[in-house]
Amino acid sequence: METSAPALLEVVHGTEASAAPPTRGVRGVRLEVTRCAEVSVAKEDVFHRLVASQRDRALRLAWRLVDGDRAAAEDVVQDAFVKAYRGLDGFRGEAKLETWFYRILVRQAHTYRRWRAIRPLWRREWGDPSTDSEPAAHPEPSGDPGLRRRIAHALETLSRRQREAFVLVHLEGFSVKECAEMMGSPDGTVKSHLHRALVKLRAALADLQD
Amino acid sequence: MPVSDQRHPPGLGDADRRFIRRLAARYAPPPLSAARRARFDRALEERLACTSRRSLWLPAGALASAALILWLAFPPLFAPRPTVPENLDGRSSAAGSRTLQATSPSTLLALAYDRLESERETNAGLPDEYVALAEALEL
Repeated sequence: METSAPALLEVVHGTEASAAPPTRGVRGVRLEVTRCAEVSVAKEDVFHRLVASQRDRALRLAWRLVDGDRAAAEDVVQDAFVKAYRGLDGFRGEAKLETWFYRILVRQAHTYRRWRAIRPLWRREWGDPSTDSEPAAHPEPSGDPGLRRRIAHALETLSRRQREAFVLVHLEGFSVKECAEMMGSPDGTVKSHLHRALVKLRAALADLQD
Repeated sequence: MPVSDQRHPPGLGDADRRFIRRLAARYAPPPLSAARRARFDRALEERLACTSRRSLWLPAGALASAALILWLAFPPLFAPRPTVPENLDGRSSAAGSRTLQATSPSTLLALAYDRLESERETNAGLPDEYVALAEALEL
């Protein structure tokens, strides 16, 4: 809690909290207690602000990372928010709060994709009748569902890193630096993933070109 | 979502940018309705509340599990302690301890055999007629 307090207060109050000098003695202890209470309130405040400001973008990103499955995207985002809430005490402010959250989200989407890949094997092996039916397809109100499926399929042919980099930078508009922080890779590696992903996608979706 | 051209890494040609813009426009989820957003928020709140409840139950469950393991591993620690009647000088009496030990049938049998043995030892030095008379009188 001690390590995270300045980071959380900084998120709420700007840089004033972390700029305050360390205090000692009874007054210092009293200030520390006040600070802890403030941090507890700050945690709720920060979290709700994070949800309100990032919900829509997170849902869109998750939708793109889980191949256009809306229900799965909502599950992934909720899981990511719950994990972020639990982990907010440990947030040290080394990255921007949003970057830290999207890092959790991208990992959560990857976990979901892995689970989805092994789910048929699991069913075949153990024959769980309760989950025998495929989840109902969610009707998309507009656009070309065939083209959307083809794009999803083309994205699926990319490697995990290439897909994540492409979606984060080119489709969601994060900078290469932010994407590198989320993926835990150097900027150069992200650029390389982006280049390869673009080459593969242009080959797979030739009809989207001029 | 409009993709900002400044955010793209340098080195992208115009054709690449156009391709990416088209792909982004065609591969986007339908806009989130207010009802769906509210449902999402409600579900998230429920999950957070559930997480908080679970975080309260977890320590309690861990404590109960630890107690169960201790109970299974060291049953004597949890066995009820016998209340031994004490003499005035504070030491437990032989009669008291014998009464306590005589709680199981096997102990009762052992005590009965002890008594028979001691009677036999007492009558050992007497003439046979006397012993027969003593037994007849007891009956």
